[in-house]
Amino acid sequence: MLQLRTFKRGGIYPPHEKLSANAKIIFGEIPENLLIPVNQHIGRPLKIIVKKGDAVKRGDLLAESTGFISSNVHSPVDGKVLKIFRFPLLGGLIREVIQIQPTEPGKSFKEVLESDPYFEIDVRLLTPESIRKRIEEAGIIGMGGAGFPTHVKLSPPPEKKIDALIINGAECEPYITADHRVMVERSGEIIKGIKILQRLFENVPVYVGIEENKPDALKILDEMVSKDGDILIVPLKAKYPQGGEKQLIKAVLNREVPSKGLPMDVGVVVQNVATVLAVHDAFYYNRPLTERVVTVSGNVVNRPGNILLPVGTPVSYVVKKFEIDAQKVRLLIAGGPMMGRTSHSFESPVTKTTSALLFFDNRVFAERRENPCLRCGSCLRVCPMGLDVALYTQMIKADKIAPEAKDHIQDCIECGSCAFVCPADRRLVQWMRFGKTIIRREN
Amino acid sequence: MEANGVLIMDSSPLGRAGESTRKIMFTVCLTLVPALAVSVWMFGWDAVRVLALTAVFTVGVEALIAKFSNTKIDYLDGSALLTGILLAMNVPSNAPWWMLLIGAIVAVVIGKQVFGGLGQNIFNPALVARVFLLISFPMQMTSWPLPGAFDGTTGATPLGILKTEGIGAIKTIGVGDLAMGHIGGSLGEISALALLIGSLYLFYKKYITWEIPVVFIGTVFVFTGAFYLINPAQYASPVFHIFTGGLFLGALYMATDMVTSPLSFKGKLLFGFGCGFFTALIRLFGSYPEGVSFAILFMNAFVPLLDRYFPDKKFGMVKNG
Repeated sequence: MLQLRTFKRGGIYPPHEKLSANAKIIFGEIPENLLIPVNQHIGRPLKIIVKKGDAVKRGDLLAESTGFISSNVHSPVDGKVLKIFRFPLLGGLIREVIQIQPTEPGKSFKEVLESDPYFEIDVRLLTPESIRKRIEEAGIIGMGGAGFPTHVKLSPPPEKKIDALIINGAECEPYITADHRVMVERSGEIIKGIKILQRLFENVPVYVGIEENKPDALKILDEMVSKDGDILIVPLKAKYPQGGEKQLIKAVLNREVPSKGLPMDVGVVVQNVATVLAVHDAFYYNRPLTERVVTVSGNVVNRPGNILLPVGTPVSYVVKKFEIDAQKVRLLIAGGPMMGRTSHSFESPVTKTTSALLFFDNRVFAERRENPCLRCGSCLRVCPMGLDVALYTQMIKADKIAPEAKDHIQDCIECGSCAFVCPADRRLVQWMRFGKTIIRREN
Repeated sequence: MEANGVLIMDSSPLGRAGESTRKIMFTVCLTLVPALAVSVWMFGWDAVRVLALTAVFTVGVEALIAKFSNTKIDYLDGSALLTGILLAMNVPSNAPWWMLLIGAIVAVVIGKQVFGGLGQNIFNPALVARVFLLISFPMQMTSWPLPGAFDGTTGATPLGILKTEGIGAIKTIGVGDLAMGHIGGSLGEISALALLIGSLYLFYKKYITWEIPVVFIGTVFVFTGAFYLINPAQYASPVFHIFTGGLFLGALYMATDMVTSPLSFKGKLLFGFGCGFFTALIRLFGSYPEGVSFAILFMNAFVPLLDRYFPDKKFGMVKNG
């Protein structure tokens, strides 16, 4: 077998724990109650355009963008706006949500999807402008976790020549298999989605980066693109954080995004596979982004799986659907264990960026106390950005950040590799985040 | 639906690799077992006595400080034990108990706790204590019981003989004797081979990296070798130099001390070079026969500077586009 590509600098090998890798994506029912967060993206806050008592249809706009870097939110179901109020989201922050009472609770969500009309479109007739516009209207944001509006990422200024499009199928976080299942089960739609994105940049070669621990996804996609000269499936060594944009670009093309720079600075645009699927659905089904595949896993989940959920579904629905013993749960993580966020309420809703819901008892994650730094250098060794984490965090703690350290601190991607290996259990990521806040306040 | 009790709120990452301070410290202690076994074989119960006393004294002193300190000190984390073992390896097997107690107090109090405890000290605590004892009690610290000489005869180390009696007096000492420990010296000085075997596991676990020991020993070899080539009648061979004294102990276990060595690649190279250079300088031209301790302590002082001015290259430090 040929040499698997990967990024060179740092990285860790946490246990994969892909318990739901072979579990087909299942469909649930429309929950009795949806809480749709107004702001699920990075960028300008939205303007709510519905009010209490309004009747809404599936696909209707609930809140609209207020600028270029902003992204619409739609209703996934037919229903009635019950209430607009503030509620804890996954991660614990209390934010505005729109509560929808569905007209047909309990109806199979598969049926809902199947009743969406299919449009046979000719990709060659799409213009770049119409593609960007449709993606913007459909409220598509980066579904890998960051939630940056996709149409913005697809609109680099003309002086940035894009000569590579990378599709991120690395899924390097432990436990999560949502992208994996999407690649296996909806490969044809992903390829069709890629073809749409390819129209934006003339003759751009496409690279789909997938870690070797997903051999079925690699095989299916590879067979599918073997006729196409311009889409290349790139098997990657399984290493965390390969799904980080800068690391993925380094792994696939050996290009290094400059400090404080963006992928477009090295001529690259990166899109997550789930996002590409959303693009496909926006064109072929005229669907705005209102649902996503979520991995449900963790050590208290008896049958880990993957489920397609409408945005706004409360966690409690998943708890019931997967027959999770709520009494046992001590830790609820939205996303993976490396970068995910903990949550304190089972009523918090799924958003466009919720790739997984992980349920653990406290056997796995014992309470930790920070011990003194030994200067062992583990954090420096594993940092994919090559940062002197041990030194910076001491500076941040002492509130004496050396001028030359400031740019580097801002380059931290918060992947958590440093804290993962730290023998002294230091909260290195939190210190780095705190450092970023201090620097931002100074500027 | 509610969870039974409160869900834990925490910040990412939530997983851990399972390393801990204790694990590192006790692993380092365990890798010293081969070298300790050789010293017990050579010096008998005296070695056990010295080892047990220093270990009890260092941990005891740290426990006492922990009792009266406002900050929480885990005196059983293995760091005080390691300091104790390393101190034991730096003294002669006939060292009196009071000297070991003084050494333990100096190591833990002056070497470590006055700086703010574990991780904060600039100098290697065991070496601070060794140099303190060497300067304060030169007689006791330089009359070494000869291995296997259970009649109580003492003598100088090969380096000491070289310094005082010249090159002719060391002609009879073979490389095998040096490597295996058939020489006079402190507990840890006598078997380079056993130290090397133990340290292999530390390399494997990445608790230590090759830069400092290789450059340290290499520099000593090159410098003493240069003088040997110029005048073999006056200078000892580089092979003699690398296998004598505390060079292996110093290069593998003291200079690589996580707390008091640099973090960056270039910093480690320069640190290793400095240690080797000053060791060779003191051995060849200084008034002390051995220079490893002084060289390491001297270079310890440069660590913050090395960290700051020779950092590793960062990701993305490339020209735009």
